[in-house]
Amino acid sequence: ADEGGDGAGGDITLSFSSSQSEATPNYYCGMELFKERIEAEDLGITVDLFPNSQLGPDTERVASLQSGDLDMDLQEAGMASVYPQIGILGAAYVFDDVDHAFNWIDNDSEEFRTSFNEQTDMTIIDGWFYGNRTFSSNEPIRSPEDLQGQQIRFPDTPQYLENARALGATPVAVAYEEIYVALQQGIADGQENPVVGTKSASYDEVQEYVSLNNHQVSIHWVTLSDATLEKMSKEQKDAVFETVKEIRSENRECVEQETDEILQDWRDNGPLTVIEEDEVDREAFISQAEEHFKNYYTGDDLALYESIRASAGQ
Amino acid sequence: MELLLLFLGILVLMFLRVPVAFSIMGPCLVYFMANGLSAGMSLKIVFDSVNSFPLLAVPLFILVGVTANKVGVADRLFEFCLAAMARVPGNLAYVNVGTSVGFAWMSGSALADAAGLGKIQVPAMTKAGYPFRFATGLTASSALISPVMPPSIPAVIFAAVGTISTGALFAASVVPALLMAVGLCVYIAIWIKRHPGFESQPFDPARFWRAAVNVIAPLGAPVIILGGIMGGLFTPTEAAGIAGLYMVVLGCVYRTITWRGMWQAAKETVFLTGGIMLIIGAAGMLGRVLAQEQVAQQLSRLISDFTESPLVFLILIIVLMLVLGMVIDATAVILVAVPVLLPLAMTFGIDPVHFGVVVIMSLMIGLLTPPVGSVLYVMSSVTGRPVDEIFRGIVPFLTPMIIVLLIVTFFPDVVMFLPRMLGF
Amino acid sequence: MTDTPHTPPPDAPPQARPFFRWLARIELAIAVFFLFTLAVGVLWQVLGRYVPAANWVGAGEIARFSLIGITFITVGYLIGQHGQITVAVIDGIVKGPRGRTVVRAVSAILLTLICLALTWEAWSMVEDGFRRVSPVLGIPLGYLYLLPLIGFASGTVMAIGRLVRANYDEPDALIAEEAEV
Ligand code: NA
Ligand code: NA
Repeated sequence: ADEGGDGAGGDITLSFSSSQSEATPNYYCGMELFKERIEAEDLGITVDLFPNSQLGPDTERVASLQSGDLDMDLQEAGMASVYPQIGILGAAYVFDDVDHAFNWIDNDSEEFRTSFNEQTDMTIIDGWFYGNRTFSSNEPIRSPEDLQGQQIRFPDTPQYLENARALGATPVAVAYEEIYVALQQGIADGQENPVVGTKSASYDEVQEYVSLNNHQVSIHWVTLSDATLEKMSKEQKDAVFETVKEIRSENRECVEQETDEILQDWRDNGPLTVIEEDEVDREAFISQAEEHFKNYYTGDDLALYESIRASAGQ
Repeated sequence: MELLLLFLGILVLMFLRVPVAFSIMGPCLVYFMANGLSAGMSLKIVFDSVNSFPLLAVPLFILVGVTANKVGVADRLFEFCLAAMARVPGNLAYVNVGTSVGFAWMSGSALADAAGLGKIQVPAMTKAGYPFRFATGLTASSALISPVMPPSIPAVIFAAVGTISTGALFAASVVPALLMAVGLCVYIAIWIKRHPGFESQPFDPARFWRAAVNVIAPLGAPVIILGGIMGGLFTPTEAAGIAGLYMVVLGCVYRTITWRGMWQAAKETVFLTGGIMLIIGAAGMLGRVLAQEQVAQQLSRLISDFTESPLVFLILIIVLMLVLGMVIDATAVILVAVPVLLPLAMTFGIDPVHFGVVVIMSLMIGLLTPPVGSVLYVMSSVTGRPVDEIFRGIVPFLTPMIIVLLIVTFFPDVVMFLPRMLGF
Repeated sequence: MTDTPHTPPPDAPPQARPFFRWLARIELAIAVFFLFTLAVGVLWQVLGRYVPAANWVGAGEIARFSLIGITFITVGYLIGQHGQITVAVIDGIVKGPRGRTVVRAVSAILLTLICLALTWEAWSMVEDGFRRVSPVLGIPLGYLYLLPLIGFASGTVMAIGRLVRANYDEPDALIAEEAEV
């Protein structure tokens, strides 16, 4: 569906949705920038933004993209419901860091994206950085041994639970809506999220430590419905793709800046004690995770996992 | 314009006796089709609105309430309160309130309270010489303590919709629920003064202890619910499941619940759950239309142009909720209105938890009033008297309820000190 | 319920046909089964936290899907039993038996149309649903979408049943004790 565009290209209104709130960098430094810039290009494109899951939870929005009821979306979690293999891109330490992830997207992801598109009728434009996932907990976490016996809340998808096992934690099932109470009352000892996510959900109020172990480069995918793509002229399409890509690095800077500000505030004023990157035994985490996943994945999944690992450090 | 037609359609359908859920879904379907949404998408919204973990507490707390009735918990509570307050003049009336407070710790809905206690209390009071209207009015209004006191089904739904902490909302509701009980007791005291002649009985220690022993195990349910949540054993939703299990075990121990009784309880639970959940789904559909049309933003502009005072805003909300609560099921109001009004309340500097308590209490008063007053209908069906007679009995009790509501509205600390103290 | 034929009093509706009664019974039995799996799912999630061997991610999803099951499978049953929450304000306005019959008939026709539209929606959902799987257990959603399809199809049938019986006064059942299967 990458060609499209014959006879299309009139005025078009794009609905662009996400589960992110207005307060997150991905919104004010991503979605809003997109709206501003693409509308300024004078190509007849108007953008309506729907943050906060206003157009439904992640999986429902994926369905809306497939049927063309929604034009554009930014998310991670729901995409595995139409293309399970995408979960591997969220495996613990599959990407060394953001640069590795962006390099892979730019240079090595074409086959993956084509196959994704064939199966789902959705096109991945690019991935924006959501943050490095970190642990917050009541006991300090510096190495895989520290995780032993700790009940950590992970999202209850197969990939996330495998991440827990790969890192050596005991995953505990708590519904998203009840995480705060669960942490407060000690039902779970900790949770994992990017710093921005931990802060915005106020988990810092009920935890002691945050550990900058950065076990997952969290990428939120900017996707476009193929039904929408067919309605756009080549010019409009190119503008949308270029604008999304152009915003990627600015968005990353915003996320990093926001993360630094939150961390600095925690360092200065609490309530969390920050376990810095250099206090974490990163090598131990990485090798344990890699060993685990090499045994866990099979077939095509293993091939994808290994190819991403092989592209590390290039 | 489109929205106006949509709401008009919903109202006309409701007026024509089409069930509430379908009155909402019908016009929404037309809206979605007119706006080119693909077939199947709108029903997916209903599907996904119901697909929520915190909502699992709804059937589970209904199950607790229904089984508590079948197990005979209501009788035990009633006897205990009566034995304890034998010497107080007008004791039956106070016992009515006291039993409701006890029951409220187990049940999350007013219907279970009215249905379960109404059958015991109204006949007992009329036999003792209380006027029928006084007895039903008191039973109906004290039933409202149940959905305010935790566990509370409206609070669970409010917390889920508003993404605020269920635990905080539960904690915030305790004092207002107790105030409702106090308000009713003050009203009873005044009434008894004007209607002398209700004899007290001598206190019988043997009877008291027997009743006390009998009530210990049923009171384990609230201990389990709150203790389990506070003690870090399980989340509020899970607590509902544990409490349900506890009630069934209690029924087995007391031998008051048979396989047949269990089947009946399950049947009643799915019956009530099905009715509520479909409205929840339909409300999700309407909510999506409102999101698509960006109604929340427009409404906030309208209200913030009208006033800048949080108090005036809260009064507006109370009036709105009382009116909506009269014509729409409380759950449906929470689902449709909260996503719009909560962000607005926060711009007025109102704490979302305080806002939740005010909204829930206002809506609960609507349960007593026609045309959509479920408690009213339940009272009518358990006593076998016409709805208008029941309502005449309720009217005087609206005064203490509204006074308590105003206290809770104007003194946020009354609501907030407990959740703050518990560290929410 | 006896099999002895007798003349019903003029204001009581005739007994439902065996087909409808069986349909209602089956739906109710399925709903009760879902209530059971819902409770088990929630308790399992708690248990799994304390007994690692019983830790199973699917428990929460099973509980949520059971709730969806109850919601949709009871649609027809509740319409048949007058158990859906309804605004009864018109009863205070239209008092005569003829007028009430007209109101009930109009309401039943509207309800039938809405149920038909929803049945069609559910059918489209099923057709499209096999492209997606549930996030935790990977169940193709098309199977789950069968629940609304069954519920609204049965709802349509029951709504037509209400139209046929429009000249009988059938009160709304508010609590299940009054609802007979
Ligand atoms: Na009472
Ligand atoms: Na309660």
